[in-house]
Amino acid sequence: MHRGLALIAFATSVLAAPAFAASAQKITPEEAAVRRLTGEQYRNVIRDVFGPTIEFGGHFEPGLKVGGLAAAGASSIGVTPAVMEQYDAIARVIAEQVVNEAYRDQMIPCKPGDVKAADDACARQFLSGVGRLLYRRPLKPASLNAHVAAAHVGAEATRDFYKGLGLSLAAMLSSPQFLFRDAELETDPDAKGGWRLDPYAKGSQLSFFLWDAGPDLQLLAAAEKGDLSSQKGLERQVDRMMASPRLEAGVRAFFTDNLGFDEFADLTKDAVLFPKFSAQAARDAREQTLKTIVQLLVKEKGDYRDIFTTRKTFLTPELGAIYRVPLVDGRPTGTPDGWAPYEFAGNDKRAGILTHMSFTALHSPAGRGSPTIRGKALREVILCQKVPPPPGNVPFNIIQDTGNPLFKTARDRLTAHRANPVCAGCHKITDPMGLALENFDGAGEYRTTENGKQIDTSGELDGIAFKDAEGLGRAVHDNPATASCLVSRLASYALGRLPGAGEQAWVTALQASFAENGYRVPDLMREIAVSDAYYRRALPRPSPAVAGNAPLQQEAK
Amino acid sequence: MPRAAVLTFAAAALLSGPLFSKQALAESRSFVVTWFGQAMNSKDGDCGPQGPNPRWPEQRLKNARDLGYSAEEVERMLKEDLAGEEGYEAGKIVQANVFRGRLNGEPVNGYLYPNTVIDPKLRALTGEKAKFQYGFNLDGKIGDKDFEDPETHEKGVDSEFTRAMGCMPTFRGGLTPTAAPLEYAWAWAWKKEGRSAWIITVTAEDLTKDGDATITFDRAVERLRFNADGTPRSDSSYRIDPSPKSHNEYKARIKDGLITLAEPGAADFSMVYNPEFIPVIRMTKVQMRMKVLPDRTIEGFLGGYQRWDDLYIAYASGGKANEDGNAGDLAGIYWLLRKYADHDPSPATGQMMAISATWNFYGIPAFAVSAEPPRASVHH
Repeated sequence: MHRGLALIAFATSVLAAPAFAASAQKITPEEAAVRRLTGEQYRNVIRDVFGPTIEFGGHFEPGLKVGGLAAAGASSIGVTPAVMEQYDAIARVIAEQVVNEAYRDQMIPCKPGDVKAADDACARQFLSGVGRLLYRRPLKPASLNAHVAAAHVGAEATRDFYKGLGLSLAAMLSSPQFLFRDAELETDPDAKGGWRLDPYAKGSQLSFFLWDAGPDLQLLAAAEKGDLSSQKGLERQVDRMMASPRLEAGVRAFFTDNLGFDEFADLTKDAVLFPKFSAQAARDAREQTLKTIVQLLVKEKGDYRDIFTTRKTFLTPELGAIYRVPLVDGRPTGTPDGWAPYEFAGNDKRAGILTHMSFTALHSPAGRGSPTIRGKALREVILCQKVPPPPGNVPFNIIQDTGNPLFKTARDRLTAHRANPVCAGCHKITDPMGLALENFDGAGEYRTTENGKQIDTSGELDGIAFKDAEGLGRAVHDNPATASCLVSRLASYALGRLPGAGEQAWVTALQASFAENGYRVPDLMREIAVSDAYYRRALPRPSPAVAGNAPLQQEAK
Repeated sequence: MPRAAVLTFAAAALLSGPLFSKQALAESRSFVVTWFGQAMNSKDGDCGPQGPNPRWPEQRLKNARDLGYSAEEVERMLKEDLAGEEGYEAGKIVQANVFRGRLNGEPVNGYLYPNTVIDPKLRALTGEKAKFQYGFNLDGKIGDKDFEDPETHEKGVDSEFTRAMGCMPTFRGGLTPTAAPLEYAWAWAWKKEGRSAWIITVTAEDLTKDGDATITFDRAVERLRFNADGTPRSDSSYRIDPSPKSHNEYKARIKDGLITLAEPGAADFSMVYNPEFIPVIRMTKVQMRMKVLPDRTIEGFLGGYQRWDDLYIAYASGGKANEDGNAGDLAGIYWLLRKYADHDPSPATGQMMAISATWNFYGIPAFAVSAEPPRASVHH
């Protein structure tokens, strides 16, 4: 972590806070760490502050994945000079729109005395207001003064109040306080010598977890009043946020990360082999699964495990052609496709999200399907079981030669490949599950034969045999690892890192209550959000570099 | 109706059973038409020893000579036109051809008044090498000049439209889209995204067995959908335009996988086609045959007596541009169609107003759902 950011991380403000409810678990918290905003979180904050029409004019660097989650890498990722340049460019584009003559009256609550000169009072009013929302806490006086001074200098240099204000706003948007979610700490009255996130950091952690966005005014006000320091006050805010339609955005953000849907951005298919695949189909496939999940888990408050068996989903005409089901909408020709709820018939092979194009196409190479890659994804993403990477000297020629007349189906090819004992071990844990999805080709379209030979979709998962994808979905549904994996990954997502050894008891308790509560994801999210373990932190240990510098700092004094 | 309701309605309508059949038949399959064009079977030598008619650049010079210009004058005009500042297209040869009609001795637009153009007597299919042409015996007779279908070997095939156009260079070709005549390939490539798709639905108790069936031709609200590589997309859904203008329903029979009309020649056919090409395909005494292939696609032929003035207007509506780019001598085509028309004599003149025609088509699997009649949307 960057040293300056680390300093922000453990900057402490000791506040007298009401006592927390005692934790039921023995928790040894991990060190506090800042977390870089994801691209979507950046966009969500900006849209909340400046409106949904703001354009960003650039792309955000993909996150660093830890344990398969970008969120868990958010506390390990830094900012390279190139990324900083990109942040700076995006910040300028946003700031220019905010101070643009066309929008400034809506965005800026005051008018300068002279548009060609600095106006510190107006700049202060604007910057303190947006600064509170962008930094997710009130600006400290020194920070606000610095931003007002920057606006002043900018206005004088450009002889334009608004340009000066825009420059200061751009600087604010490029600052670590905006780009990173801070982890300012306060002493924890419930744990002697312990620390916890201060109310504003707590509010940020809550809102990015539940809404994938920054705190709203009510949450900031609750933090300011100290409400978040009491269990009752915290629960009141959590319940308010859970009842908001914005919870859907939080659930979508988690599952987008959890299912690796960022990889859709780079997904391509051979257009000759898979002519129906298109960028639109890929976008729709991703959205199909997210809509299915949100409907089942949030709107219907259903059992998480049912996402692997449900026949209910949503489709567009674009997907309808790939899934071979009738679907049109009533929009005029030429307008984008609309969504419609759809339920696959009882005899249809499609049941559960593993049979969605978002799984079968995403976990396939460009020119073919892959039971191994699909099985590996299932083991790692859904069951949290690590599959070792293949040895470097493994020949893949048999698997890749889909035109070999001796091995017409993927099962044939994998059987031949497994004759190599070096390969057999790993394929044994991936292929029996992946082969159950062989009715879906590399782009997710249904098929019954490969190279003219009937496809055998039988398989097994941890001793449970099945004959097709529907059976696989049921086996995943019933596998105890499915639910516990979800809890582990949601906890990692919420914490922004993998849970530490001292936090495992908390995760175990979450897993138990998840099962007791009928595997309801919103209930699990609430339990995490109101848990004091979620906010406890240890002071970061000084890095060797900082420790080594200490004598010099003392000497300098 | 709210959109969600429309969707539900559409899906329910489809899933509840065949949309168009009045019979209680169990299986219904729809196809979207991915090619529709004149069925041609051009062979070397089928236009006689002189071969096909000249291509348009040569024909244009011949027409100038037929207008009374000497060979030397034509040569000089051509040189002047090619060297002229305004370009060849605005030159004397081209303009002479545009206004090659003569009315009371005055030049008139030859496309608008083709009957004022001297018949260039273009060649048509003739002889033994032109014997095999796709189609149907529409009149129930086997005449000396009738064709024989190369697939079914039915004799007495009436397809004078094929005969008339068979020696026009841009109308020569085969069946498949890649082998099809340039005129239709051009029209399809250019216009396919600008017109509503055609949907064929076959309904029967068991489409894999011999028996009765119902076949419908309808026009969709949507355009044909395409894959990323430009090929037509299978398994897409289309709403059926409820307008009766483009609804054709026939009793049919399935025999050894071939679907034919149960009462051949008993019904008419009318489909709005392409407003920018042939606006409407309308035929009487229709016959049809169609096969569902193992890859779930279809291929078939449609025959009947077609209004030839519809065809002429379609080709001539592009005027000089279409004459130059695709069709060739438009007035010549007028005279060919008029000459070979073989049905529906005008009570006033005795001129046949319809010509026996054969079209071929291909299709891929699709879903057909019913649609409400189009309504104007009003924003409040």
